[in-house]
Amino acid sequence: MSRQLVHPYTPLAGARWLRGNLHTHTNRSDGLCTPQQVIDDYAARGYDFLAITDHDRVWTDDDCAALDAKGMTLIAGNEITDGGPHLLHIHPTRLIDPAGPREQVIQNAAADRGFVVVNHPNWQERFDHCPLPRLLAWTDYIGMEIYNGVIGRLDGSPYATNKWDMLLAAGRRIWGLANDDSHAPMDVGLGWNMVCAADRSAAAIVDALAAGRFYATTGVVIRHIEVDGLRVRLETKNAQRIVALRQTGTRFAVADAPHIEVQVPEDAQYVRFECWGPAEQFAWTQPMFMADN
Amino acid sequence: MAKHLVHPYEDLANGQWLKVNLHAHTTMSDGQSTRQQTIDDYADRGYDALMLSDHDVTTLVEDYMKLDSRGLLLIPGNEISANGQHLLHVNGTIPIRPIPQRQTVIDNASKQDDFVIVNHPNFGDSFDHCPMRLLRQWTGYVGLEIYNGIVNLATGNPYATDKWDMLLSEGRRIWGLANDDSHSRETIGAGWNEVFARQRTAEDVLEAILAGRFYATTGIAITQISVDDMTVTIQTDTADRIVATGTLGRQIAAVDDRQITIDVPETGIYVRFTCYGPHDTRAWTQPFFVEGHPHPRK
Repeated sequence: MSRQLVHPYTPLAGARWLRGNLHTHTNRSDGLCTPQQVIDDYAARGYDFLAITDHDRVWTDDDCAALDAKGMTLIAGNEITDGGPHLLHIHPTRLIDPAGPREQVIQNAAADRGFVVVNHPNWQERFDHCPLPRLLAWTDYIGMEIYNGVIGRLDGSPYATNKWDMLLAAGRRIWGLANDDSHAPMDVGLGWNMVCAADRSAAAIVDALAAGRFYATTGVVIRHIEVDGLRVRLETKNAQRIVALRQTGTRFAVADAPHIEVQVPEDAQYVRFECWGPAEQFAWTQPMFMADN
Repeated sequence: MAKHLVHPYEDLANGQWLKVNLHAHTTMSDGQSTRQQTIDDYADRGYDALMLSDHDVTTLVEDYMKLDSRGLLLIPGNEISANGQHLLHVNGTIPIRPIPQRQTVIDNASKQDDFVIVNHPNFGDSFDHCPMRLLRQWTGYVGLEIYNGIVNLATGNPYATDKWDMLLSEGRRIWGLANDDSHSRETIGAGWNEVFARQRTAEDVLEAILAGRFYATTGIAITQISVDDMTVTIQTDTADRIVATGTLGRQIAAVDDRQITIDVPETGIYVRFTCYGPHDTRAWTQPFFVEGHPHPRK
């Protein structure tokens, strides 16, 4: 039986790559700026979509429609905060009560609309805001922030690829996101997601994110992702080194170039790529999973 | 009372920078090259000092005397491996029994002019070869591998600055090292230490490492470290970003440049610098500790 890679980057006719941040605070919770100031800031930087996610204060479709989007697609959002590790609820229709067991809260959010992302797992003084046992126990979230910008200036680490690799090695199919978690203008533009969506509507962007048809970045641009059997080719604009990783965070190929072509070993459970650019910039592809043909 | 910085870079006039790797395996344990081939390879790459660190096999001064040093300063030692977390026994002149009670092992390996480094803390399927619980509990070790080259090719993470920041934030004074942990010719040159030694002798290299007068690197050279009261300046050859990190990993300042000058906030416990360069090269200074005393304690 031959093996092949299951991955989210199948070509999509007429699709476009859109830039967006899914974790944003305003003065409706603990952010410094008004919702309109935040929107203006992101729009001026060329973002295509934005989710405003105040703490346990939902922004619905109607709330978003009442704002001047400045050409961006605004996606409904909420950061479920009280009572446990923080969660993004993207594209909700209503406020989810954060009380109760976290697993139940996640299920309630996922059953509403949109999807759930676990935030900044390595925040706080023990670098462990969301411990691995909880990440392994919970089932109804689709992604994890592998980079969260604001944590750069707070306790802990903004990166969480260690927990991502452990989840992936355990057989979980979890997408990795990069978000600003902006609370002030200084936090805007640190990390974002490049999404390959059928069109610019909130529904199409949410569908693409849920399918993993995006990559996370802090500045490196991926131009091309091509998968043919077990061969993967990646082209970037500005990577200086590209590393291919398998379980559990083990490097199996490296190229000191803006592009790489690898043959994925048949015994790899998954493969993912980290693209390292100048000035501590990264891009992370989503994992590609080994499956029998 | 005015604050000041206590740091290991007080005197960078009298001495020289030496390239040092303290973690290399040979055919005496699970490495692919003989002791002599390994020495040859490191000498050919311009290293100044090397410690062969086979698993529970100590390379003694007498062993080195049977080999051609090729101009390298050769440091006796081993990697204490069986029955627990891996520890470098640096300048080890007698074998240490690798019993499970690692605190006893550390004590036994630190009795004279020898000392202990904790290896690859984030190696392994759980990214946790040496858990924080043990790093907190243990006393007497001098440093931590904040970068270990071979872990790139194994499970886990080669970096361990997260655990370093937690220890430093709890008041511990632990140095950060970069080592190859080479097991073959291909795994040489991934990470090393630039050590400022008074003379080009093994004794002076060890003295400088104990004092923290070195920085860890995977390819960036730090060309100047100067401290004036609470102001620190770091200059490098090829960094394109330098980040000043304080208590618990908080970013204090960052510049996209090959040099940085910052006024260290008086409120923190320490500051350390990470230099990022092309092709994922990095360099890490040792921590500068904020103290409330008017003069450094001697």
